Amino acid sequence: MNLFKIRATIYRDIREYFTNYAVLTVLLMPPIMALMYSTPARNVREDLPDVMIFILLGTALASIATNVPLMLYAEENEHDLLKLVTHNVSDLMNGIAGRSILVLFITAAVTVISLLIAGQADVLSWPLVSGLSIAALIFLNLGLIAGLLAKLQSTSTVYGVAVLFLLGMTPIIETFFLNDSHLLMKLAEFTPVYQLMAIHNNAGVMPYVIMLVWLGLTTFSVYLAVLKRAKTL
Amino acid sequence: MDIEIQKITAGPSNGKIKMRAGKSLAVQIPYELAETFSDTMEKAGAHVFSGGLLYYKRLNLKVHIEYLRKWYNSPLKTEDLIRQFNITDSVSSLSKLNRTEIQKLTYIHALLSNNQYIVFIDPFLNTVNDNIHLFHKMKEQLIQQEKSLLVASSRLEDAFIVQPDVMKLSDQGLETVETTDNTEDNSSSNVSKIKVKAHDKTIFVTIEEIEYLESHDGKVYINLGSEKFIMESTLQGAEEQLEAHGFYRCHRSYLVNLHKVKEIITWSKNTYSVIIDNSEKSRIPLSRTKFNEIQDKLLKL
Repeated sequence: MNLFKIRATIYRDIREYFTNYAVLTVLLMPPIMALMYSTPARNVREDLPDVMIFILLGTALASIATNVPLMLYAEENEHDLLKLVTHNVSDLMNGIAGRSILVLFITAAVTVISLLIAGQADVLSWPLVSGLSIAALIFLNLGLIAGLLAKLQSTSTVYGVAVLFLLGMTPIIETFFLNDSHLLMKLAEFTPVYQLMAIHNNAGVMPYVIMLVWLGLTTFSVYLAVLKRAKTL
Repeated sequence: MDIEIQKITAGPSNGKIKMRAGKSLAVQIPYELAETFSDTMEKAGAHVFSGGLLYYKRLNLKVHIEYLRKWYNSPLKTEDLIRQFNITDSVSSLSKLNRTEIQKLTYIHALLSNNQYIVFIDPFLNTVNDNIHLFHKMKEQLIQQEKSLLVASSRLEDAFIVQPDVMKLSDQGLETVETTDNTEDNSSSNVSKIKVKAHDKTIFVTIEEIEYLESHDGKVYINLGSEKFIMESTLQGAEEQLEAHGFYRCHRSYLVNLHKVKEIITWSKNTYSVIIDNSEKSRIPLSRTKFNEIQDKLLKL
């Protein structure tokens, strides 16, 4: 790892965040959602339901940790911009490290800000924070895989929206009032955001195990994506 | 660093392109080999700058330079580079700047790169004279940094912009561009047209329309406007035939119509070009020893 290259990537990405309207929109999505969800609840002096809190957390994770690196890499791939400074696997890894550090930092900040806006910051227990950290890495990995392999910005949006709806907003399925034995409910129970809900409800060690399996699989997929992307540098 | 020519041309040559610290090479390569040349150089570990400009359209030049400086951990200062390369607008996003301005970023990138071997492919296509001056400034600094620079150009006259000694890459290997005078005699005559070949046709070209003649691969090419014809003569013969019509041997491989000369540009201490007054503003190499003489001829024309 080359600290200078990691620092340079962070420097450039910060400038890109402030000039790229697509990224800015994605960053603003969770706080706006928090405001929209919490205002009606406040008006009737009710607490926001847990499902809504976890939809909010899932949205923050999917919209930032997944979509930001996905959008940035998709644009770089479409215009072949990685070749500006990236000439080998090592350069690619340094770029990924810098981008990931910034994305994780921004994800944490936006998540906390969104919870504060929703008035639900007290939901953050230590077990949930550790669960959120693992989940952030999983969502980041999903963004890196799709981003590194994306050829066009337009098609990358499809991946981003799919992750947002299927894995970020999974708890919305609760509002469908499906039977617990329904296939969709069974599948939903293995998704990362459902593990966060389970951790919040003190479900023991199993949610962590499931998330670590997700983390292992997605990390391996990132490794494969890096190898594939490096071939065309 | 030595690069086997066989890898580029797939020809029989066992020769090598030798890039050495503190030295520059100018090589004319066939256009169709440019991509293979670029790939081979990259694989050998050189930093290759080919025609396409890579930049983040929403970021400005200052951020780009600072980003590259940080990436390569270069001791050069961003503000100094902005001044040195005459960047007038360092704060507008690159999407608002023209190609000429963005091209300066490539020269700065080459200076900031920590790679010992820098390769430029066709750097003078679609560029302006000011940027060629900046290219020479960059070249001098790279040489001072003890880096090795190779400039590959598909046009011979562009290779001569880099330096007076030019090599040519072909299936047979790397050869010094033939700059010896042709010795075949041709009788001088006072004619207004000359005979040239174009495929199966023989065309008679009005002499005063010719812009310049160039000699390579043992053939003499006549350039007029956007057209190029082969002349059945040697450059020496053409010189004797055309001298009386205001043609001047500005370089051992070039004969220029002085009536078509627009200006003379000094790129560096030993590198000059004659600029032709045409839509392409063709740049013809001018030998160091001919610099004063051509000026006299132009004044007395």
